[in-house]
Amino acid sequence: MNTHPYLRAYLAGIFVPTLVLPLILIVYITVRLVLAEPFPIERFLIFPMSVVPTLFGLWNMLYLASHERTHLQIGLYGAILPFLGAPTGALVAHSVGILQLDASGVIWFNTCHVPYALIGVGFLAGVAAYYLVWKYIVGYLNRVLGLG
Amino acid sequence: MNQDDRELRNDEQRWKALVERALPPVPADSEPKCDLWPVVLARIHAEPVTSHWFDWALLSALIVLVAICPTSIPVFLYYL
Repeated sequence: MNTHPYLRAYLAGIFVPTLVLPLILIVYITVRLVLAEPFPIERFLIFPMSVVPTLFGLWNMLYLASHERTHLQIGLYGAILPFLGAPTGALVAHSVGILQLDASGVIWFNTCHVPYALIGVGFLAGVAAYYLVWKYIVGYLNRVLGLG
Repeated sequence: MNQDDRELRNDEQRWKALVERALPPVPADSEPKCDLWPVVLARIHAEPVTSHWFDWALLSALIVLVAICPTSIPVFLYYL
């Protein structure tokens, strides 16, 4: 199984976001169609449905390409991704109008105010979550697909 | 056959020619020499996943954070 290693790396990378997508769709259907809440939640879907899977796939391809030089553990490699993904996600959310910035924090959907200190804690939690996901799920899939 | 039908037929033939030119036929010997699924199964069962105590602590901290602050769940869904 030595053919198309980058295709296999991409598929292993997009596995986790692809599993999360149905959960997001359930939330969307419940909030928008069942409860008929007036939140523009479909704008929320743009980043997790289009950017995140691609980012995970490309990041795993980059891991495969650079691993021989860097010898970085895959968990740590995945933990770097939030430093790229978090600003990108915030930028997308801001550009579609679901995230506003003010002096003390950010406002989601014009209702939920989150102070910057809490964002710092959330970012660290995100780094930890990515570390675990990449170490145990993406790393495992890489080994199963003959990449690790 | 009227003019519209003839144009449609020409379009179909042109598309068919374009697709055939873009996608050459798959060679007969392009199949793998052996069944690859047993190899994948062997890899799955080869080495059990071992975890470090630090990773368990990290996972516990994340679960506690989500329990204390359930509003963080949509944020996790947004970034995963």
